[in-house]
Amino acid sequence: MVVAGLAFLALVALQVVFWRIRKGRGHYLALAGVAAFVFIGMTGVFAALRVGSLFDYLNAVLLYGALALAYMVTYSALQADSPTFAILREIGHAPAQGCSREWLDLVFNNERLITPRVHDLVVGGLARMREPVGPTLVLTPRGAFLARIYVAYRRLLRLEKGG
Amino acid sequence: MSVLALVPVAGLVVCVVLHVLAARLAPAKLADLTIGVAGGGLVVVQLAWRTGQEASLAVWFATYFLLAYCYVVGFFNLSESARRIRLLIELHEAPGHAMTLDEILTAYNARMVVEARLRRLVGAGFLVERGGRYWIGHRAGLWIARGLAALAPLLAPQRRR
Repeated sequence: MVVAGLAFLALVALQVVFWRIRKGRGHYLALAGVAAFVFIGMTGVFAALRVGSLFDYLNAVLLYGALALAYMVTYSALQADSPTFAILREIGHAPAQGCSREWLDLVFNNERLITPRVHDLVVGGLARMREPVGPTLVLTPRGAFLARIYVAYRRLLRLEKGG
Repeated sequence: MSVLALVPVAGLVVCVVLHVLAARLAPAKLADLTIGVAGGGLVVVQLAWRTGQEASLAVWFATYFLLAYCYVVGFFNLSESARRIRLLIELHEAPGHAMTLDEILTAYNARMVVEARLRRLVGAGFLVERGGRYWIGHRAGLWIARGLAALAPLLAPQRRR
């Protein structure tokens, strides 16, 4: 547990340093690369110092893997500001008379909440822009594959479309 | 012996299966998730006792809860509230998997995003609504939101909206 905890701290420290140098480009791939680098270092330490059995090593690897994955999941919430948290902060700044729905609709408009996500789909290769008569968004095979996974999952849970 | 290290993964599998079963039998999002996560945790504890690996219980439990967190926040919640996933589903269901920007904004727009968030936040007690105006309810939600915003410049310098 201590080894996995130390490896995780090393991951966060390396990421902070790495982001200062590379300015956080290619976020997730770079983060996965740093996590893999720390994993190799952790394995090296285990092998060199011969600390614990194979069972202890596997426990440490799995705990470190889970910590790294959970960190990546949390990182995505840090990296793209969630509307839920942004709404909470906006209402937290509001005067004593609270925040009206009209004000929230003015602050959280399509340009802020939808357009950047449409752009993300195009940049991420999940959709492409076509202009036959007007700007049209078309799903790429990769986007269709991902959509099918989520459609099937939500159908399995008997849930409507999320969002 | 080494295969026992996979007990937290077994717990995660049980968590997902129980969550799906609970969602199909009695749809209640939060309760279904709780059943799944608690069920998987119980399996981890049981396996630790039955295999005489009580000494590994703490590390298995920690690993299991982190994996369950990844499932709930990184997969279920993504399908539940991620705008990109909703847009992908809208496009997937459109004829020819294509939509104009106007069609997209008719099917899914900022007003709907705000409406869904306000409903969830009021339901969870993080916001209070009176006469169409909103105030902060439990302050925990606001603290988490401010904490993440404070951490962002350090850990995610190129933050997107």
